[in-house]
Amino acid sequence: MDNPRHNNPVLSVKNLTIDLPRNADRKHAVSNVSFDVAPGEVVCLVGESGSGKSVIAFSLMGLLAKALNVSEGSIELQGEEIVGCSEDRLRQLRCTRMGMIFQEPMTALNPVMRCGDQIDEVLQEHTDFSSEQRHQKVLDMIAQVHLPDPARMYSSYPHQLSGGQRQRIMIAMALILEPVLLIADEPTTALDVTTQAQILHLIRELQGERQTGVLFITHDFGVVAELGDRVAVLKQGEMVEFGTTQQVLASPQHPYTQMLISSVPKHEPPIRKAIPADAPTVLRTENLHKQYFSFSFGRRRNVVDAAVDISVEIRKGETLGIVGESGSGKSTVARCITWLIKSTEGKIFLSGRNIAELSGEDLRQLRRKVQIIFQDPYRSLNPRRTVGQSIIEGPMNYGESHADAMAHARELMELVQLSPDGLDRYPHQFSGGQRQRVCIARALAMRPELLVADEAVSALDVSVQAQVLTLLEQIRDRMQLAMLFITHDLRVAAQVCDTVAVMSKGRVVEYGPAAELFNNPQHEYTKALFDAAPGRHFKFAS
Amino acid sequence: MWSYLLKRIFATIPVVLVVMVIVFLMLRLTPGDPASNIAGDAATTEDIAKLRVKLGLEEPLPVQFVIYAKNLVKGDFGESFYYKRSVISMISDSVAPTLSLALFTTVIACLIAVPLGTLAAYKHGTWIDRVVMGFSVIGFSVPVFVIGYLLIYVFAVKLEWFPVQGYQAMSDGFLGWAHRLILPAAALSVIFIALIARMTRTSVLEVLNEDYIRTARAKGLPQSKVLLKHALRNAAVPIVTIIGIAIAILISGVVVTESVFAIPGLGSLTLDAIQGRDYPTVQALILLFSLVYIVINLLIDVAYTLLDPRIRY
Repeated sequence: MDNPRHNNPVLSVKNLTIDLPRNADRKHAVSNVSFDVAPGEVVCLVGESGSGKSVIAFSLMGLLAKALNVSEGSIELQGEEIVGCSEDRLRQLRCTRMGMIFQEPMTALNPVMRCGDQIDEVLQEHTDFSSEQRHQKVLDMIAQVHLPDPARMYSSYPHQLSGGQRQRIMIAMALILEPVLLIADEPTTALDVTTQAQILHLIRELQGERQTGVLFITHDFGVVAELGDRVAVLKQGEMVEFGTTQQVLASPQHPYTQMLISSVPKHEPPIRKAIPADAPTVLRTENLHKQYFSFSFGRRRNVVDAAVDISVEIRKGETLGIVGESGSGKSTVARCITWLIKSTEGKIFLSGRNIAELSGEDLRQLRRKVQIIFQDPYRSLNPRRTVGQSIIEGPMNYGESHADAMAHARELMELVQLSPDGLDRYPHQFSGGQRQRVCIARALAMRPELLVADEAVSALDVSVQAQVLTLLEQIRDRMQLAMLFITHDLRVAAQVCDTVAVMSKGRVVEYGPAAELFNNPQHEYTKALFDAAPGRHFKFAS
Repeated sequence: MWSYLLKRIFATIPVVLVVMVIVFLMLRLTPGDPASNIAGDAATTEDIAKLRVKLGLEEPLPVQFVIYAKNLVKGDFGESFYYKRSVISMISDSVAPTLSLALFTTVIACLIAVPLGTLAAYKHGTWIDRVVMGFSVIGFSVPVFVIGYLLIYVFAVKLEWFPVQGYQAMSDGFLGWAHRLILPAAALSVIFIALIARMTRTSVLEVLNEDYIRTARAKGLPQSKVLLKHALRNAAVPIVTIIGIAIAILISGVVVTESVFAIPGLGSLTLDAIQGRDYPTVQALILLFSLVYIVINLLIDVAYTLLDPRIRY
């Protein structure tokens, strides 16, 4: 740390402790955390959910929830103490000396205000520019974040822009007054991988030009590798490690950091046991097609081809991954196969029988053979039913007795490595990872032939994600299930899939064995997707 | 926008037709001869015979409906046997007092309720919030006539600030008009203040948790701007809905207030018409009140598109 710019940090946090309300599960949200950010430097705060990383970010901006308060320590912005300073002073500092961008570009902009006006508001509040000057400056800034046609962007409403474009508007808003510090709270987590790469690049470019210090909050070590100069690792409010990105990622010292880094799924697929050639085909689709259209005055309008010509196959004991960005049609395919929606055309064979045109009792019987696990374990369990009730409801609908269903549920709880006593508890008494295990048990209770996992690990922390992935693998092997694994995350797909189909704009652009596809991608889109994956070229400790 | 407006106006036509059919059938399905019902007890046989021809009662029902609809389009709602006047002239005389009262009430209610609700949301969980919500519960529960007589007793009888009863047309002087409307409007507005304040609070409270409110604060905006420019505008859709419904209820539901304050409006007319079994007037009033609801719903829908650019039909 002999770099002279470290002597005049833009941000210096010392012994910061933030209390949680009294009834919380621990005393401090953040305890005794110290770090600094130099001009032009990117410091990453990395940690899992509940590590206190966002709390730190909000405390810097003075935007902490009322229930939380800084009990000890100091935060200095260019030498000025922020802890305990007045609300008026904080307001003056926001956006002029420290700007912030947030995780959800979809909801972070006011939906009823034009984007340009939202940026303009910053200038109105903090400068004396005339309205022409402001207008020009906003247009310049929109151009600087590389949005096309600034005049049109100025007068657009947020819902008319894509996620990436909205995040660019947020960045323009945060940086228009050239603050010395940019706080970025998971700004790319909600974005597709290619968009993420562009936004990371933009942040790098702008902070480099202006020598802005950046505090970048993330849970993704790939992003850290891509962007960070230094990185601080947080665990339950405590800082366990702080050093240069190279040091921390390549030779982590603390066991927690080591565990986190080893949980990050690798880009290279492991060597997998081949599926026996005589394994029966469980699912086969032939030119599956799903079209959405809206009617207006009885005429078809706005025809959208959500999935076109999908022909894939899964054999017993095999996992097929469908990988793609948002809007690629991957979830549409899963929903057609699970009959949550009806496909427009094409055939879906389940164990040799075409199920695309089922109805009534046939369809009802099909439902138990195909089960799905959803993305968000917090919302896919009924909060007013015990876990046990949720698990046995399905089998009992198909005539199983309560006692049998309960006995089976107990076995399943053990299978997903939860205590069977948990059956009497409610979902909120479980953590996110445990809930997802419950969801898996619920799906398995139906004794399905095909298990569909729709982004089933995307909402989970990386260490929990690794555990759930391992569990899914074990279950698939033990029960010889066919599994359809939908994900946007290439690394996750590389770890669990035997075969991978890459989807873009409703079509499968590349389809083949995982090892081949990952080691030697053929299609341009697949290559672009791989290139965009953050931290791909970084050598992590293993 | 214009195409949407047109579409929306077209969409009201079937609703209006359905209302017309119901009102038309109402009289035909009541026991007895519609003509003698319409003509009233004091009518001569000749009167009834004339009316039968006019209503086309010898014709089959669909033809009768066409005649009825044609008369409506011409503005002919028939004649009140009770007052011996054309219904349309009676209604047009009563519309102004009722509209005055309704608008006056709405303005008072909005001016008080929206800031009150916003304040309660902003001060969520504090004594201010509790006081506002406590008032809201009381406002809901006390009947209009109790509030009305209470106000009359205090402000008209004891303090003598306002007249006890009566109405003066706006054309006879604005001040006199307003002076006489303040008490009835105040009485009537209590329940609407309670209703709108509650809705405003809920709606603003929800919006205050949104991410873009955090963004607005992160920009360094003062609280007042965050509340007014960002929160209230986004909370507006449900608030406008409830205000619209309030206006519709007001216009069709001022019966009690008008009789307490002796205002010669639609409420009084309705009451008299029902008591006098004055069928033509009752029919016309039902039609009118339905139209009020339809028009206000139309206005609410149009307001949505102005308030929220995401709403497009």
